[in-house]
Amino acid sequence: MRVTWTGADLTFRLDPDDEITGKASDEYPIKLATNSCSVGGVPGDAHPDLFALAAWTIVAPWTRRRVSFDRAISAELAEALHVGWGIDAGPVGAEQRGPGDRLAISYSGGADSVAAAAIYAEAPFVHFQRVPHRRVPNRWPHYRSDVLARLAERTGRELSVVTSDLEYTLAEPRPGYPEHHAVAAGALLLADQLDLGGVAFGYELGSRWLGGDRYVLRYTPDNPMWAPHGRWGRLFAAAGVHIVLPVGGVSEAVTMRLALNSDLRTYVRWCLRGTDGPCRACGKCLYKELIQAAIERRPLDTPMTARHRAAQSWLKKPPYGGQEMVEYGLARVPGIEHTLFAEVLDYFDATEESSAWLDHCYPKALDEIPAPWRAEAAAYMEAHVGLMTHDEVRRVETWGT
Amino acid sequence: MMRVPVPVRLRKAVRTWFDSRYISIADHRQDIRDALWEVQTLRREMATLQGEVERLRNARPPAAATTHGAGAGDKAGSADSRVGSVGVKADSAYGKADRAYGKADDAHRLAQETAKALDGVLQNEVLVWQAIDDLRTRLAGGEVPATSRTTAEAVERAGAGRVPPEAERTPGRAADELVQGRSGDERVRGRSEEQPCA
Repeated sequence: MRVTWTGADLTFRLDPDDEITGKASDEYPIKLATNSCSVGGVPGDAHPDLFALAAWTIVAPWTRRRVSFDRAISAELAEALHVGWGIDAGPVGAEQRGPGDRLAISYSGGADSVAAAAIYAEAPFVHFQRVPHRRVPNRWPHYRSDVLARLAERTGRELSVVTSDLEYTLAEPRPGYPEHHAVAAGALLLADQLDLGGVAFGYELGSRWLGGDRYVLRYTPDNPMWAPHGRWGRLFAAAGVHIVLPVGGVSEAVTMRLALNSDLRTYVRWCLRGTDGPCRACGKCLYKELIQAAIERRPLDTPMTARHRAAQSWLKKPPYGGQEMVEYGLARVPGIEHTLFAEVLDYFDATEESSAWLDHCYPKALDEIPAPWRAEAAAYMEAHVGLMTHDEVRRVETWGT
Repeated sequence: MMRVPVPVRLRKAVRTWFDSRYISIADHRQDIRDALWEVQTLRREMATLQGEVERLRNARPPAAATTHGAGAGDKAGSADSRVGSVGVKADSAYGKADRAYGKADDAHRLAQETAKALDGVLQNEVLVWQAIDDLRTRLAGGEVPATSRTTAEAVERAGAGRVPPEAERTPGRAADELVQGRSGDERVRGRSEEQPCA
């Protein structure tokens, strides 16, 4: 793989042994659509390791043996790429970037990142806004990234909006981040300007510890995407920008509760389609409505039926990513047996006691937060959430067995 | 069991009384025949209705097909509109609606096909550059896409460079990739348009 930045425009060329279909760190097959993209709203210069790392979040799935950057990187970054991926990276010749002092929040406006924002009330936001790619037909105009960017602006927090078409480098499964970390490409390029030593993501218990999303669906202390000692954790640290998961120890029920109780509650939006509010008709709206109804102890309020195609993800037989939250909802939403979820009640033996562990914080997640930002998060969790008991910890650590 | 002699006339009267309460065998036969006839009639009607449904279902695409039949539909349409009678005007209005549908369908189809074709072009462009880079590397006698791990090597890279080891050359690779890419395009079907949950 050969990577070239022209300003904030990235082009990359495949080596002879690279292929159109690659694999992301979660082993999911990823098909390349085109080999260029750009990042807007970032400064023209930054440490070469930041340019290299930002590019790597995009090109990693398609790189088989080596990657050459257009400017020399530090030996430490090259080493992290070698150890993490078995990739030879070069040219080498820059001094390592020391970590900055500040923590930025990769802010999407969804419940999880709002919860992260609630923990660090002073932290600046970096918001990734999808824009169309000038060469790739946009078949997804219903994704209202402009609405989400406007909501982020209205929060009044220190904000950098990064506009990028990098998601269109992906042909399949659909436009999206080639690696989950590509959402931080802009934050990385801003790291020198904002004096960043860490980027906080809204990845929660399910993603960090339960192998959720589209990963292995079992307890993963060595999760390659999010563990500090995993390949990405070490690589980000080598570039002086630590991965911070302030809500990595709590479930989506807790992040939603924290978000809806925070000052930012009016700006919370997890739906990617709605304009004046959530669309209430997509799979994500249904899933989040289940969780919200559960924490608010009220009946489910959705126009969707079991016949909706978007509802199918939550009506299938486990295992699947997010299953712990469906179980949590089934145990708590009054009258759930009269909703579209009635047909899945048999798959679960859900009771409030059996899902109570999802109301507390997994302590090891706090230990993982880098020292400069740990105490604040730990204090917040102890005050607003409470730590898991020994038995609850065991529920996490035996998940998926 | 005890048998009791019963007078023939009484026996006959009782039997006739019983029989009168039931339908005769001949009537039964007729009923069955009628029922069969009914079933067959219904079957014919069903077939006619199914044919009608099929006809209505197919009605729009042929209209569209004639419209994108190289403008022939347009000409027929303008000929219609020149004729003055009221009945023909109504027909022409239908024709216009049909053509509008046809055009929208056609534009939709064309947009989809163009987008899909562009997917292939973009992907092939990546593969062509891959092949060009590979050839260039080999023709130049060997500047390998930088794997150099030191500054000295990085500087050297800008100069003469080195001959790539045999394993890195993988002759014929680019051509394979091109073919693979093309057949890969064929598989780009039915992509999900759902948004990620992340």
